[in-house]
Amino acid sequence: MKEFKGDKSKRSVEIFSNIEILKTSFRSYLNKKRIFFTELFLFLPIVIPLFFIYRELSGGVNIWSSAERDAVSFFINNIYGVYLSILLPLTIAIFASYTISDEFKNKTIFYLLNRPVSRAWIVIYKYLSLIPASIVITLPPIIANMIFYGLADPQTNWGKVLEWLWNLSVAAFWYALIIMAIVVVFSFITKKAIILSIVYALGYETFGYQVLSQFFDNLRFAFGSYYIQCYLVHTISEYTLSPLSNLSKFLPAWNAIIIIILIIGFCLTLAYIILENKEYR
Amino acid sequence: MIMPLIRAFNLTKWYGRVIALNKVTLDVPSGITGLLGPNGAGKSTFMKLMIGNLRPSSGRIEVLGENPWRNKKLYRKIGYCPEYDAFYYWQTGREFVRSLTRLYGYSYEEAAKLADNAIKTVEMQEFAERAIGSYSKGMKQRIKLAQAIAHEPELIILDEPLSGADPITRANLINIIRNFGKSGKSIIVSSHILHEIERMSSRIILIYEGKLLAFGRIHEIRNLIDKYPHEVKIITQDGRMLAKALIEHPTVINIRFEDKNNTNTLYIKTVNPAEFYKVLPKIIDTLGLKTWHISSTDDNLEAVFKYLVTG
Repeated sequence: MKEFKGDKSKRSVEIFSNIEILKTSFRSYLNKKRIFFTELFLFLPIVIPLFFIYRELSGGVNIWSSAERDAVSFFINNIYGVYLSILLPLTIAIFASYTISDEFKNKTIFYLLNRPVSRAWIVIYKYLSLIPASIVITLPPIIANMIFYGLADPQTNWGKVLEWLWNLSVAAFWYALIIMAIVVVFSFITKKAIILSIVYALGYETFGYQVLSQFFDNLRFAFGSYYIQCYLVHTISEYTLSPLSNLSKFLPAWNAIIIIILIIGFCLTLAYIILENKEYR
Repeated sequence: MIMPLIRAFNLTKWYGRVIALNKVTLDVPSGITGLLGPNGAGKSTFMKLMIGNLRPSSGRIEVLGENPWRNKKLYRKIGYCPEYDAFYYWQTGREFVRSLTRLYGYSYEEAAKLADNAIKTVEMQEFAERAIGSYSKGMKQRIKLAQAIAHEPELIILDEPLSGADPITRANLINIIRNFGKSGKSIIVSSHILHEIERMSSRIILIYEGKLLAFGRIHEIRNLIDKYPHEVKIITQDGRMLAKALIEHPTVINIRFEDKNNTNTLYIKTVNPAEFYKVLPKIIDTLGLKTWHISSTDDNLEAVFKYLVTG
């Protein structure tokens, strides 16, 4: 058996060898067919304008010319609202909880628990390995949707579209990061993390935020979606708020990002404490 | 004084209101030790306590003189082969062993070398580049064994390593495990089949319903067990012909068919399994019968243990 005599080299070798967890998990997640089905779900917003186009062709209302805004801002305020507040959290929650629960269900994670690897590295690498997969899930539908809506309007300013595309992608990315961190905690607590994750994504972040924050103003700080909205409000000028909201209620974009990072850090620390102390049969 | 390999004192483990291990006290010396008990006896729980996956509810356990719970230093000295098949099926056998060996802190090159040695030991060189998804049950067992031995641990813990393997693979695995023992490694190997354990180890721990029934030399325990009739299941081409030949043998006390329509599946009770297993192949060969299945039934072992408990 190899003995490590020099402590400095030991730590660096361990960090590099632990990257094996990241590599294996990442490859494993991308190998799952469900990632592509999940992605198809996110292409759903493209289907919605087809309905309007059908109505226009059959002599109905011309939504593009009759609306006061252009097609892309229509997308941002309506379709993307559905996308960011419902489809994205739901998809990411299902994907993340499925993939990590699978590691417990298939018991592949137990090989890691029997090795001299710090549980902190297991949590960090399992979390990091979800990120590329989440980008693969979120980015293509965002790009496809923007191009689709951009093409629908001949007046589209493509420079503006790219700027929106960037800001929406960043917001989606941060939102995915929060959801994944919370789902990691759920997955380490229970084998039924999928149910808990759906309840969290739809019941808490989507409907909970929309309903509860209307009645109890200060409760808005307890929702991840509030910080994402803060980012959107300050980075996309065309993003219109609901009549009940006002700009002063929203934290500056960078403050929101710092709080998001703190939430993620808290969740991962919690996941580490759970993994360190829980017995796995 | 030689330090025992494993020392358990009043070791107890509860799962909620169910007791999985009940006040087990024993000192296991180095060498190969078999852990024998029917399914659900507490073997896996005992092993998981040894590798530090579970924490004792009361009592204590020491492995190589240390408390195994979350003991990273100790994990380097232990190799564990789980009972369940847990794989990333897209990985090749070599990738699987190498990636898990790296987690002991080895560089890529060192891990690759150790993995290759382990793969060679379990005789999997020919299949090492194939995806695990395409492996047979026996290959999976061998590659699991390779990941447990690759980092050259002092103690190897094998949870039902022969389960589901065909007779040829079983024989191979038994040889591999015996060779580990000869090379000076200490091994704890669990099984619910006495004859398998008997071929690997001369010392066994007998465990039933979480209690330690007996611990010692296998022949002493074997004499105890052989007092109880042992049941063997055989699926053959012509059950009636085999039954006719076997009923005359003095060790056979009872033969029954699975049902009236299926007379090719036989359940045979014998009072001397060792002698029975010696003559059975000769009888089958003389009759020229094709035989697909010979096994010791699990329920039967359960009955043996009940018999030992009640006396």
